[in-house]
Amino acid sequence: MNILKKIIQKLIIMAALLTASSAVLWFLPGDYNHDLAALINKRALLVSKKPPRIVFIGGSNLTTLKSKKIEQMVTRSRKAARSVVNMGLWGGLDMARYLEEIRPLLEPHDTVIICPEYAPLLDPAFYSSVQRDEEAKKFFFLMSPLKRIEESIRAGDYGEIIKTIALLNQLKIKTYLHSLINRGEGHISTGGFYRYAADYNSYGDRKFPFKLMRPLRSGGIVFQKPVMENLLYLKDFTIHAQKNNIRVSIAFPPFPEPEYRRNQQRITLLYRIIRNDLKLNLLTRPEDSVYPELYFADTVYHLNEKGENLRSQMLAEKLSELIH
Amino acid sequence: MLFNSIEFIIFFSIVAVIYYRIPYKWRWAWLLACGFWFYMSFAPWFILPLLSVILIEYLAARLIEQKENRSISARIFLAVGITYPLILLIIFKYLPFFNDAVAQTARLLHLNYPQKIVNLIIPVGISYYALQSISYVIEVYRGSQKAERHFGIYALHISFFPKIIAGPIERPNLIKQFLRKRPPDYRDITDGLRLMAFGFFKKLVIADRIGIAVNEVYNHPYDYHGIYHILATAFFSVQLYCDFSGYSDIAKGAARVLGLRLMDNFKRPYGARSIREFWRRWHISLTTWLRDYWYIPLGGNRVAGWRWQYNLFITFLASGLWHGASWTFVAWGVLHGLYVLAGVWSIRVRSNLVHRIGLYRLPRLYRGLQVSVTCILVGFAWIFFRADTLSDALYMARQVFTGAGDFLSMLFADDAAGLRALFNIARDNTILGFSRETYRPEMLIALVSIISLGIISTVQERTNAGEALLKKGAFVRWSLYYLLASAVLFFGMFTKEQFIYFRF
Repeated sequence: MNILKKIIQKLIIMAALLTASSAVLWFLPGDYNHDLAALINKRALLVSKKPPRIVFIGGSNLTTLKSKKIEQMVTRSRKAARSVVNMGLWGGLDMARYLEEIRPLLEPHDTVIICPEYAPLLDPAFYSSVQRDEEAKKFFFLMSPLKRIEESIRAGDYGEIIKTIALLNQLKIKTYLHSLINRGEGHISTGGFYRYAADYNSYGDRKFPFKLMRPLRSGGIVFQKPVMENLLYLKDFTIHAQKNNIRVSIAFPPFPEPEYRRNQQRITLLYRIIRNDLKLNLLTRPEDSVYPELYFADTVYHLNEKGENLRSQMLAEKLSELIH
Repeated sequence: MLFNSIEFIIFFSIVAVIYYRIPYKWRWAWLLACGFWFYMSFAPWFILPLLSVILIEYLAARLIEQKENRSISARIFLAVGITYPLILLIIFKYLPFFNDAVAQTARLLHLNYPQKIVNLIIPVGISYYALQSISYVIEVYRGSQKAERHFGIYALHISFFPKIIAGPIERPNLIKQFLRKRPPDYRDITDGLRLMAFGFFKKLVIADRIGIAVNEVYNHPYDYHGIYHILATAFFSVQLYCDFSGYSDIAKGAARVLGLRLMDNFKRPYGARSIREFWRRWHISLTTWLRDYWYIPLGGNRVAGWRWQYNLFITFLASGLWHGASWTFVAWGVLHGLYVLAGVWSIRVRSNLVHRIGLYRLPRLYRGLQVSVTCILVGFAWIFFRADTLSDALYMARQVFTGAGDFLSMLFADDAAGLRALFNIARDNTILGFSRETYRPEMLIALVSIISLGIISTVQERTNAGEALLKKGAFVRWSLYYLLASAVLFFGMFTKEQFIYFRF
């Protein structure tokens, strides 16, 4: 048995060496070359802006927002400074988890505008794929590692912790290599998305519009029924926010006319549930964000420059009314 | 439960620790129980055909031994022992293929064939344990192996978990090892662990990484220019080797940790100087099985010239069919058969040519040329092995020539713009299946890993790398072990990709 003991001791030493290397790598400054790592940057952006703030949160439909224009219009009409933070990133993110992450960072008098795409609210299959998405889970882990480790330990899922840390470390190494290959010497690491500074402005908006593409992607969808689990979470979040003197409103995403007409019945049902049953505040109605197809870029949720100007103008006006 | 999963690591650790903790007399039972549990983790019902093969082959061998040598009744039991696993193979693996083939022929002849869809799930490993049990009854019949009396030991011989899924296709002499009393051996255990780590490196760092590029091109062959077909095929040559030899290393390593030795399945096949030599280095356990139980019984080379060539050809055709019930594998087997025959037919011409141009005076260059030509021929045949359909394979095979022709003509014409256009990919956000952001680091990791593997293989070709490593000091050894383990941890693809040879 001495032989076995000796071998097990050596294996433990090797495991300890690998664990130590993983820990060193985890704490080394570095970025992640993955769009979803922008979650870290967007959270840092939220923390950096002084309250009271207007926080937009939702999917990629928000990424083209003209936050500067909205900030200027609202501040002008209100005659008091309001900073706008655009936390919009990707429609495939679990909205409940994302809101849970930013909840502790909100302050009294902040205004939160939740603007998810229709799919997670009206397509149960899409919603269940959102819940299972491994990529998103990885970056939520990166946002709050201790919280996620605690959750995994409670669920007895130790393998998940090891796997997630290993995968994030791998991505960090690949980003070092990417930086090395592309000679990114002047690059300052943020602990988030490698290209964040190049892709997003100081409000969290995309610097570049989406490519024009026809036919629009994600088109032709026929929505099923409202996903009550997701909607009920919005209600919970609103109640909690109101207790802390935070205003929460729902805005509907932009949608092309033909797609809207095809799904009008379901979208109207969703609107009624939000307004009448859940009694949530609404910043816009679905038809406020319905535009002809020529205002869209590549997907049914992504506006082009012209469309975004229209939408941002409309949102600024509604916000000015809301905050008054 | 795949080898490349955390579940397997935990399973194997428990198996090994308990194995060395329990008395010798119960070790076989422990391994047998673990083997059944491991096998049933894929699908519980898979155990039924396996158990039936174990039972019938055990009885057939015992009855053959009891009968007079080579008597009619012994022959009947031998026939049962051979045909039963073959019938199972035909039912699970080949029936849909034959059904399709008959239906296609009937359509061609305008006959009415009521084709029913037969789609059975193939129990994993059936192609391997079927051949293993056939070799056992044949050896018992030949008298070179005694029929095992202990049913449990025989069952373990067939269902030993490291090799049940994808071989090596062991011979009956593995049985003796289960009966031997062996205390834990430090050298065996550490050698086994090293071999397993190396297998994981090949599979997770190389095979699964370049497999992404291979899948991208092979799944959309019509979207890519021939130059990418060449690239994807070269990648597939490496992927397949790393995937299968990686699996074999893990299997051999796991057995070695338990004090048992499985046969070698690979001997640096891409260093072969001819197709025949390639087959002496690639999937050795299958090649030797086909040699001993198919080629030699057909007469081998001790027959008339035409018959020998027929034997060679038919053996490669059988090898192709063993790999899979589809026309692509038939074409792959036929191609290798033709390569070998062409080698036989052209031997005099090639020998004259080598002497005439004086190539024999430059042995290194000659060897390099031979290895290169063999690699190109083997690589070309892999197109048929990997392609989803025969029409895809034929399209890609044509495109490979077009791609090479375009590339060379532009290269010699110094046409930089044309070359750039040649490498332009239609896909929007990805390059060869990788995102635009990760493509370069992934390719760099793949390249460095393949070069490292090439260096290790070259060293192994000349010396026993394992022995040489043991002579080094602790610091060097531990540094190398650490490098290997951290390469797997920091560069391994944890996507639980199935081993390619699992589906055969």
